[in-house]
Amino acid sequence: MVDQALSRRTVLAASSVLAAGPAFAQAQPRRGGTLQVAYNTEQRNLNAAMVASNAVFLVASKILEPLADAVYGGVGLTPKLATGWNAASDGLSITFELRRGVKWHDGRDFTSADVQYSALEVWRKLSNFGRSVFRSLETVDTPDAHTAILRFSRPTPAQLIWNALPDLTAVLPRHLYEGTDVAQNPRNQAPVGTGPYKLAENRPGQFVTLERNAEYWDAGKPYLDRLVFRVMPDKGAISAAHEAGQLQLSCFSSVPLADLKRLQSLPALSVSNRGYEASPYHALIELNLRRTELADVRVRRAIHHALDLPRVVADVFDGFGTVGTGPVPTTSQLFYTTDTPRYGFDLARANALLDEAGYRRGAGGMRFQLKLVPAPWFDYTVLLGDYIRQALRQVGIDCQLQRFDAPGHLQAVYRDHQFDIATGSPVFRNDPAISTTVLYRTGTPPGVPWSNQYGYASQAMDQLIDQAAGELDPIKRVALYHQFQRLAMEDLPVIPAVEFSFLTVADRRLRNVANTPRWAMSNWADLWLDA
Amino acid sequence: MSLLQIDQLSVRFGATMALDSLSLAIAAGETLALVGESGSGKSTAALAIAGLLSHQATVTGTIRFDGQALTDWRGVRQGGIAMVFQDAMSALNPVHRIGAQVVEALRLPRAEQRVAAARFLDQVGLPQPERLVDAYPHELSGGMRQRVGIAIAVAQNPRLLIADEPTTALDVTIQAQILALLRDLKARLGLSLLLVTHDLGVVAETADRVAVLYAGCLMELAPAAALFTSPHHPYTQGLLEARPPFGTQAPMLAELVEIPGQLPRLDPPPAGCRFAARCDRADQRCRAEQPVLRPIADTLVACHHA
Amino acid sequence: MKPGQLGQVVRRRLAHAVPVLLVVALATFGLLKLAPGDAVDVLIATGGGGDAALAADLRRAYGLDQPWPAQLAHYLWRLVQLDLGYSFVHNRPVSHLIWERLPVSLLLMASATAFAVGFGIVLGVSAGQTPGGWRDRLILSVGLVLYAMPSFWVGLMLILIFAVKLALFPVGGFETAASDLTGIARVLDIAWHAVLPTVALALLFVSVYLRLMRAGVVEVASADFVRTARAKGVGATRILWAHVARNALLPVVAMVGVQAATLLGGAVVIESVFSLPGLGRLAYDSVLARDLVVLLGLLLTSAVIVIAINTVVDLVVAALDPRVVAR
Repeated sequence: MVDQALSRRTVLAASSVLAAGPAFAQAQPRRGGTLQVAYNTEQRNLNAAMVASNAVFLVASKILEPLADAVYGGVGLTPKLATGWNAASDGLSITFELRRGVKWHDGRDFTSADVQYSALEVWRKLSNFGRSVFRSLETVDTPDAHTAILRFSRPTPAQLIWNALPDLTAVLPRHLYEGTDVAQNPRNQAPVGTGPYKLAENRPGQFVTLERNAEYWDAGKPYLDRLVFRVMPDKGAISAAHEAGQLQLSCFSSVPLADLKRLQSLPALSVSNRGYEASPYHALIELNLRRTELADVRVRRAIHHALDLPRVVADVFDGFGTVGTGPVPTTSQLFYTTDTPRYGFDLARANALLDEAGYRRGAGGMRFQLKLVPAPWFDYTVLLGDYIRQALRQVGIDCQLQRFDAPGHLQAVYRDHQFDIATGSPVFRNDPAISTTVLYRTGTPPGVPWSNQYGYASQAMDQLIDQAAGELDPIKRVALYHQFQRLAMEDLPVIPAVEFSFLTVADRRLRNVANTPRWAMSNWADLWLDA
Repeated sequence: MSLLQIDQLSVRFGATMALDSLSLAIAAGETLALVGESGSGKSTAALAIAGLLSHQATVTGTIRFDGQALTDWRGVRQGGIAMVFQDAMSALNPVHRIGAQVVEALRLPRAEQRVAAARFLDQVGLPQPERLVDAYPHELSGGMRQRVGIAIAVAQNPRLLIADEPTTALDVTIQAQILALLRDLKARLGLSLLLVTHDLGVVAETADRVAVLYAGCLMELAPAAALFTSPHHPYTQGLLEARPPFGTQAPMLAELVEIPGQLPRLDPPPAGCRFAARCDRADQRCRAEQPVLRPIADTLVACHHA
Repeated sequence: MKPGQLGQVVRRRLAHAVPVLLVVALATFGLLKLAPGDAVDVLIATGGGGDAALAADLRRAYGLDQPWPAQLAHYLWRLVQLDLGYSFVHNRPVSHLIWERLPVSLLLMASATAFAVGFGIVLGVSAGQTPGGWRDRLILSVGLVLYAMPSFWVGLMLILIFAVKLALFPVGGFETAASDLTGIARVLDIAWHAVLPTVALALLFVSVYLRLMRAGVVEVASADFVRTARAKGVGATRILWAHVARNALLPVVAMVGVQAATLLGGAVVIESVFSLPGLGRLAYDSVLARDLVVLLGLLLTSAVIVIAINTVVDLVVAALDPRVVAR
């Protein structure tokens, strides 16, 4: 098993608990077959090293591989292009041992030069999240073809880097990218990687076909001959295709909520929310603190008390969700703490807090009016907006709904701040420093989506976030993030209302579905189709 | 024996009695003019004979053609009766070529159609018939179109040709040519001709006998010469007095008649003589009792006072 | 139509088109500039997020940091050189994007038009033969229902019935993905995939054409030349088709040109429901991505398509109606 390649020393240096191998007892996998997968939101750029997003990974993660990927349990990592990793205690360098005998799909050898190029030219400069994680990456030394040493100008927590490995370290072939404009490179539409599947054809608007890579380093895998990602922009059509048996798999909740019950009742299909634990979402309620009323923490807490979140989980999310307790989701075993202030459903308390803040009920029983802007990203974020409006009426807050399409929403909320309450859906990416603390830190200029654009400014919070970002000791770092979660819930600039992940609809003959915490974004080398 | 024998032919459109108990006969080779103003029933009679009445019409009576009773009032009169219409522009299909329209119903092999069409066009005196077969109606003058209309009728090899106001839409010089053509065809092909018109000038030039219709009833039936010299029915007399001098263009009769009053309503028709309301000789009897046709010399007249 | 008139028709159409295209291009540009948000916002958001410096870098690279008159001038200048520009959202030249999707849209439009006109004619003639009769009332009612049904719903219903329940047709797609079919087999495969979207798109237009055809048939049936045809002994069927329908057809054909733009619009929804990679879906995606340059390119392409269709319709009308001289 590949885990044996990891030295105990390496793992301890990573200061995490080592993962056991996959614990799934399996029948003998069957070789062959074509898998039809729904491709709901077609991507123009399949360069996963540059764009870390679900829809890119859905296709690209089968072609391009990261240094390591996520698994259930333990340290949560399994080696891919790296076989071992070791961080220096001063936080200024990290050494990766690279897998030997790996070939690019065009036949060239994979070497440390590829890692060096990807890290310096793509992860550090172009990747949407890599730009912050690898901000202080200075050089990458390559003492031999199978060793890459990342050197940082400032101490960088190794824990952060380990947590970033699955999402942010896809390696590109240097020989096809060097000397080109990476963003414009035609290989972004036809990636060449080291993964278990090779690109066969990318027909925009129609399908992307991947073929089995017979030279894959994990001998014997993959099991499937062909993956066909069919571009299907209409969710209703995806659910119909499932029902007609013309599709074996759809990930990331690509069917309409209204069809779920029917699909669940079909014997040939399974519907599950497993396999998304490494990228859980929050249905977030963003409160614009520039509004006098909302600047008062009592009002913000009153709003939280006015929400019956268990009912929201049951009705809006059809039970596929959990009540949120803080900025870090319950699925993050490493960082999550239960020790945060809670604001349970309590209308009396909500009314009392609002009275106390000086907003008495006026004519018609209303205290004040707010502009509510639900995000168009998911059915959930839209429906949550409807729920908030109803719920806040009960405590005398009158919400006026205003809806935008995606670009309109981005501009209204994140650039112009023309909202009082907005819904949002940030994703937690393994480590609070990657995409979570930015929701609370000051200093992000207007126009950046999914950052603190609601005018929350707390010196204590800023200090805490900066301190955690530079903390090398993993245990202390975790403790700082526990504090971060408490303060976030104390001040409550945003309400992490519900944790949710996506649903996968799969043909029951498919084996090894959802066996890793970022399964839809993993390489599916062990996926097979039973007879 | 008559070629066409009409007995007690009545046509109703709902409550309206458009034609009331018409009895007429046309002999082989004869030209009968059916005269009357608009609404007199003359076109209804023509359409009934041609089998072109609409679905709304209720018909009683009989028509025998060449001894055979015609039973279908909306059926095709193949091989005997053909009809020429008033407005030759609208009577031709604008999107089909002339030649095709002439021979359309003849079931000829495709190869023979052009030649046959050209022959019929030539027969009605159209110049360059070989070129005309490919022309469309809008490319022709009114007179030429009416000749095409006649060619279509002739192509059916009829023995009775019904011409419904064939010259009304044309100017005077062309009218004369068309009438000459009809007379010529009649002579050459041995046709009987039923000429439906309001133009007494046309009648005088062409007809052997004249039937005068008023409000759906036959008022007078006489040889043309007798009618013009000694009309018996007050209505006929009124018509002749109103006639413009020979050779001038005849405007629509309705505008010109100096007989005071207008046609009675026919839904239902009045009791007594239909013309009573406009007749200066009308009396109690005329208003009560409908006069029957009775012979005076070689004329039939329906008038109590004639 | 005489030779030489074809070129004349096309030239006249084009001469009219240029100022229209310019005005519409300016209007679209203005509207999109007024719409909130820009392409970079969407790029970053769909990429899962990013920092402000990344957004600034992208805006600079795409020329979105320029004032809008400069952007417009730049665009128009390139347009004059017949260059539709380069989409940064797609990382490809706009002309490639459009060219790749054009056949799908043209196929869908052609098949839907053929279906709609064909059925519209047959149903319209059938209804118009006996105005007020049960067949007429039935067909008109069905037409009204077709007209009232939203096409995305029709599409999904067709999928549920004919693809899911009866399994006669594929759920969507332009052709079987990665089927390696070639030649006639591929053509049949594409045709098989085109059936349901064609029907879904065409049903609305069936009702338009059938009502037009019915009205024409009722009117033409009382024309004098129909009486002439009866008088000369033409059979009822031939009268109906060669005389009545043939003349009632003229306004229907003229309507095809009028409906061309509507058809393009309706294709947006159908292309989404049936997963077809056509121009309509590209337009929809481009609006959501604020991909201005692609939208402008699509607009110009659509205008050219509509003009081309209308030119063809003019020529067909001229061929069908000898009274119409190509103007």
